[in-house]
Amino acid sequence: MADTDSKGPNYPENVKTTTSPKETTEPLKGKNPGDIGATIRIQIDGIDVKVPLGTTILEAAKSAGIKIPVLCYHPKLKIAGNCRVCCVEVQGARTLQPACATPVAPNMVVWTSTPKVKQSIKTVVNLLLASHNCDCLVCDAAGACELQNLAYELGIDVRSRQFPISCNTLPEIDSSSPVLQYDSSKCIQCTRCIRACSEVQGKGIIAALHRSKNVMISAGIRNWSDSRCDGCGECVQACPTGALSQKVSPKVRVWEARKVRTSCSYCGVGCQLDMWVSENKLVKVEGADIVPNYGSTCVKGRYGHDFLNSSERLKTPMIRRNGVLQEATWEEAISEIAFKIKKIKGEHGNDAIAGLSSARVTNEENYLFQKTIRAAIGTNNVDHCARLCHASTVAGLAQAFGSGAMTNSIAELEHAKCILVTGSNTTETHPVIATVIRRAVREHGTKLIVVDPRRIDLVNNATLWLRQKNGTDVAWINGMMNVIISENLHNRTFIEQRTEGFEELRKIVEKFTPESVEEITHIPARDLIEAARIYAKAESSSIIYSMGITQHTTGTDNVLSIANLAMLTGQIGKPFSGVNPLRGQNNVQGACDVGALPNFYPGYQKVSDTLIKEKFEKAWGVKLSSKDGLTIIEMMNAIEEGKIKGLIVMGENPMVSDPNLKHVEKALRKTEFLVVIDIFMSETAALADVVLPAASFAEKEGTFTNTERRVILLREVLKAPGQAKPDWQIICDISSALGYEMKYHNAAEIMDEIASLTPIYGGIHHYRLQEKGIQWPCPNDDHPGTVYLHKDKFSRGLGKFHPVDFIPPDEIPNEEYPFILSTGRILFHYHTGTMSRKSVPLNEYVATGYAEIHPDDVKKLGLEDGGKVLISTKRGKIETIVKSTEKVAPGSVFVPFHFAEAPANMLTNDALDPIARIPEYKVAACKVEKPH
Amino acid sequence: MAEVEKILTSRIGTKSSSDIDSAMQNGAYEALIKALTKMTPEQVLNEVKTANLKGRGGAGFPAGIKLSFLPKDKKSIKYLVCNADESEPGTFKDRLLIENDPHRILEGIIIAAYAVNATSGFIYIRGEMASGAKILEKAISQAYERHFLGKNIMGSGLDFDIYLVRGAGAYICGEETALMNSIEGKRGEPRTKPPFPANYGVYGKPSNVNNVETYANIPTIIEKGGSWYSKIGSQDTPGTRLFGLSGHIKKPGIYELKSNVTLRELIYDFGGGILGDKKLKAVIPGGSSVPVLKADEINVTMDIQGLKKVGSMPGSGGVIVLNETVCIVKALLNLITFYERESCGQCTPCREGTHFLRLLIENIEKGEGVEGDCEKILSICKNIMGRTICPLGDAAVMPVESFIKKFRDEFEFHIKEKRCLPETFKMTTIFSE
Amino acid sequence: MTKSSNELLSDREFLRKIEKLKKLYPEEKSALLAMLHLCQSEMGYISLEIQEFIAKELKLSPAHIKGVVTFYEMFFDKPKGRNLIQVCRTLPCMLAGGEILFEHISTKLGIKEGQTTSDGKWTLMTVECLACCDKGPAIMINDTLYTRVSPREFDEIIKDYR
Repeated sequence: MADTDSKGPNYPENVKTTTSPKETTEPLKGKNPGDIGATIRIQIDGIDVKVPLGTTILEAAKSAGIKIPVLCYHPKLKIAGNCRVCCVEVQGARTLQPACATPVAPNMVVWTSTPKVKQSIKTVVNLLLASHNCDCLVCDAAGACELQNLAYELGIDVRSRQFPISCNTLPEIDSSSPVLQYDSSKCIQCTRCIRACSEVQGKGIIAALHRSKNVMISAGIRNWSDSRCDGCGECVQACPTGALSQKVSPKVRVWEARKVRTSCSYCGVGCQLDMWVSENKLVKVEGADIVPNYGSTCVKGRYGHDFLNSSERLKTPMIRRNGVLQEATWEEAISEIAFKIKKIKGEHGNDAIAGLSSARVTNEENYLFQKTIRAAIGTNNVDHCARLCHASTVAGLAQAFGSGAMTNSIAELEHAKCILVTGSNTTETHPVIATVIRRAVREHGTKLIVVDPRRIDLVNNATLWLRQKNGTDVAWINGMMNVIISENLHNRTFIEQRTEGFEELRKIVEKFTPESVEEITHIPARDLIEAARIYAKAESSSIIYSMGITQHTTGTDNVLSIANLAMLTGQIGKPFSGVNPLRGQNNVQGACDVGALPNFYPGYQKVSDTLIKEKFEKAWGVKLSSKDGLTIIEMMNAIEEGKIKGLIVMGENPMVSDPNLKHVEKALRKTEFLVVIDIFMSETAALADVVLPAASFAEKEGTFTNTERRVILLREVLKAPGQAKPDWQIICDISSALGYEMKYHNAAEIMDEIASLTPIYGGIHHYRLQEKGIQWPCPNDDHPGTVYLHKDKFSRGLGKFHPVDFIPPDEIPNEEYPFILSTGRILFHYHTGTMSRKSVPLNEYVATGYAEIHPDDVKKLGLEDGGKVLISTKRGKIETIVKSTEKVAPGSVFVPFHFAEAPANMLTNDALDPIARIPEYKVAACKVEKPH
Repeated sequence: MAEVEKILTSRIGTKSSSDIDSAMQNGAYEALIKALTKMTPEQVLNEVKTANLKGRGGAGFPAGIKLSFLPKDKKSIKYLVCNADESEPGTFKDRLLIENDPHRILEGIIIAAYAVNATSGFIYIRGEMASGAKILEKAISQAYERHFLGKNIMGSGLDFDIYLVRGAGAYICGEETALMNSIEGKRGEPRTKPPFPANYGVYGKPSNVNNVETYANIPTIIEKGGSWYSKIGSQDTPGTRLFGLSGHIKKPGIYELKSNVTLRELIYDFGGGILGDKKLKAVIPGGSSVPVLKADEINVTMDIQGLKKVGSMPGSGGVIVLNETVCIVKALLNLITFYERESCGQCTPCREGTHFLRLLIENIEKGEGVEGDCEKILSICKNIMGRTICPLGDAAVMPVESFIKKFRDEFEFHIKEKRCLPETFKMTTIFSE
Repeated sequence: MTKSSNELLSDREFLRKIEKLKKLYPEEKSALLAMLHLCQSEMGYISLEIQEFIAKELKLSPAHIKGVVTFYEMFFDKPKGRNLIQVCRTLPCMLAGGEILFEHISTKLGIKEGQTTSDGKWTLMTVECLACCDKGPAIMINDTLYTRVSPREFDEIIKDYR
């Protein structure tokens, strides 16, 4: 059974990714109803089968290799038992029993293919066919339709149909959703979609309507789009027929397409996708039933990949000639780069060059990129957008624990007794992790505490919602610790045995009484106390956080506080408990891991450490710089100051993603030589001197490391368009042209090199990743990987408490700029929109930028929902659309940053955290007004 | 004769028996006081078991044993549910009790609650019974006023509340798990078993569902003792039963009798014979869902053993009489239309099966039947029977199978001649006389 | 009896009743049927806007509310006449003469099953067994049950309705 996927070597007990019954009195679930009780013996079709008590007949038969047909059964879903296709004969029973819903009993004797059983199946299928719109000739599901397959297996042809056709009047198809459609004439009322939406996604949007013969399903009460459905497509994947289908017909039969397993590039969850392709066209995408997503995806993963076949993809290299980018050959482009870089090096020194690596490309490519910058160019000026998201995590958790990554696995969340989510709008940024959280709450009674200034979706599932004032995180966390210590809820044993610095912490949190915290944060003291109790007392508590914690001038302080809280209560270093920063981009974890950072070689080995430097010099055969390089924002400043002349950008779009865009643009325009490697002509590429066309994630091999430290494989699904090539090949070409020979046959070879130099990746090789990847640390080839960190011992030895005092945000609202501006992502778009904004369905959901403003403010300012609004800060202004919503608090504004035409980052503050050098995206003072 | 001391209807007919004062003047709540003050919960449960009280909703499961399936501990939440969703065609006994002696029902529920330490109870009443709901509502509030409900009832330590839930038009909600879903504000779709209600009922908590008439028997059992009760009438269904006579019968109505009364006595002695003085053609002896009987099969007792001899069962006690003027195909079409309309639509054999049964029977009735239709119908029946989530599938099949098997000639006549039997051209009605 | 969605949603008495119903049962969701009964009695049917309102009140998917409304035969999601006549069509009433009565009503009002008279006064439906089989044919007009109804009696009964 697939459950074992999430089991790691250091699990003391089973961790399951889908629900399993707590007690026998609960309804049977699809998966593993069999952990209850002893093994018993039964007989199926004359074969002796040994199964645990609580197993269903269906599962027992499966384990014995006996196939019982099913329609409404789905291994991920609770038992509905409504199709009645699986009825079997049980000796002694008066009637046939549904195999899916009947638990085995000792010495049970089951027969699965007696004449009576066969007749029963035939009748049921005949009944279904008579009511079914059998237009298999033009149905997208043909070949993958479970009803069709069953009818075929049973040999039910038109002549042997028992009943008159009863679907003469065909209902209209509901195609109001941007991504899917529902044809009730093909619906067999199995309710798999309803259960998938409720049990797997934890959304519970779809419901059955009407009764008797008229039963159908819907998401909305008028039509599908009249609902909260966000298009994740879990229902479509669950549908056994063509009733629910992808809206755009692929016009390709399933047998004409081939399926390739790969990893999604739309966020840090690292969903495994089955991409169906035919003639180099993407046909459809399904979630693969394996860790970490177990079949689920979000709307982007399933329906947002049409950008791959976009005509706007870059297909040839381009060189700027006479101010215009013109097509060129690869040879011309590479030699132009080599010439210019060498020239700058010669004139201004190695440190006059910098490179922006990418959280979007593979580990192998990031490794080669930093290797090129370090070994071929000779500087440590390499950074990437992790600087803008989790630099404070890397810095803070390294100080507290010794390593900065999610301590636990995604699957563990489902079984945590308490989950504290702060500064993460998980539903929009890590949709599949949000489903795990909702499932934990709905199916396992997990207590969810949300601490967020916005009324994010997860608030709907929360036991408690604390709405703090933006930028006051240290205060509320210290407040919780104050309550925990004063109520004696801290874990003394853990503190004594596993940590240091407790006394200093105790002193600093003393003054953060719930009452004083209420004044700073506006969180009612009562709620803070309640939250502290729930978190501290729970058997296992997991903290989830993201940019809302890190993107502050106090980002590192915030992270340290969170680490303090976890250590204080001993909610770390054990299953289901820990500190879990959700990494935003698909490979931001990996890009950091393999050294795309100015101060670290691969594996967080310090650039400044002589022994480490020597190791790399030996391996790479060159002398290396021992000086830490510059971070992103520092690079921009250095360009402006004329210290950096040449910049190589691989798969990043600072022209949209970085704070204070005016400044960024000024800097980029000032570079003497700018190279951009990308899949589309991004806003940044448009400024470049040389643009190189790259293969997308679906057109190459390699690995990503997802947010739970799992190194996962990418496979070549499509051929890259035109002359586009994988980034790693491009880097090799550049490096070689610069005189540092770089040659690899494939990505696997590069990973072997990474493994040889990076202790945490020591045992990671492509051949070991084929099925479900490996979670680092994985020091050697025999190591199975690590499911959760800091068991028995922190990476740094003892966990260290850091007393942190509250410092207000860099910019506080004033008379001129009275509103608090916060920025972030939304579900339907990704980062700077280079991919998602080229997707037709995603743009049908959201096509333009907007600003969320509280209805009271909308009224007060004389604005209109859907009307225009002008938002300005000290740094710039944008005009965008008003979205009146109570999601934001009065006095606050939220602007998603994906939209280049109304770029949120025109407004954001590039004030930096002193340690992590991360800018304060989450708080800026702004003015909101009606455009003149 | 089957006449007997009235147990269930003893107060009915007396003036305003739905009012608590008048009911108490006639003995209401005396059994409750006896149970609470003189008996332990175990003793109460034992009396119900000894009485061998059988469920009166249709399935006839021993009520005492069913109650004892609930967890024994005193701490956990447990619900008692009273099924007042009376909708089985031909059945109208619960309406009589609800409208005329609601306190007997409440008393029965409260005694049962004491026996099993239930936390609270639900009465689920048919949506269409608007007046019954009002009467029950008033009775419940009167019971609270007299401290028969609420906290620490009569100083016994028993805390018990009763909630009244009104259905909204769905026969299927008479099925216990559908009823529980309906209480939870859901569609009345039966649940797959296991788990059973005794473990996983209302809100997922242990629950026990019993019919109105079943609860109404409990006060007398406590008052007079289980063994006294067990000796009344038939051994397989002790006590009295409320038989409802309807259809072509001269004196339709409810009769409280011993369960070993014969069907012939019921029709001719109590019911006054056949309406229109015509010949008896068929009888449905226990609500529309039990197999039909022919005129020559009425010399049997109305208990389990008796009706089993002629291939039927006592069901809910609703006796529908059909005289010779009834077209049997039309009667069956009426019934199967009922089941098609009332199928919740969840499981294939019931949803699709009842639909196609109706289509085929309708064809025959319209004169569009073809040879082999009867076989086809019987084959569908065979594949619905026992294959559905809840008993509605069986309930739909039993009349169909029995009508066709017992009146096959009339069906074949319709198929061949494309018309009704001559004697059924003009059906007797109450307007005929 | 026939308030519009907006009228109902701004009716304080109605909102107070909804709040009260929420607290009536051990779990809030159990109040759904009672809320729907209430809405229907106020506006004659349950509009989509009201379904959305209830969904919000009970924190349920609007589709779930619609699923419930369309499952139970007593609930209407479209406007109907001021008065609803439901004629029992099940076997015991049929044997008593239910078909004759139904034909009479249908002719008298000039509407078929499921239809509403043009003046909006009557909607005619059939209903399954009303549990008064000994007193068939039975009909219900709104919440009132009438038994042993002859065609002539029906003509008398409807005189009381406006």
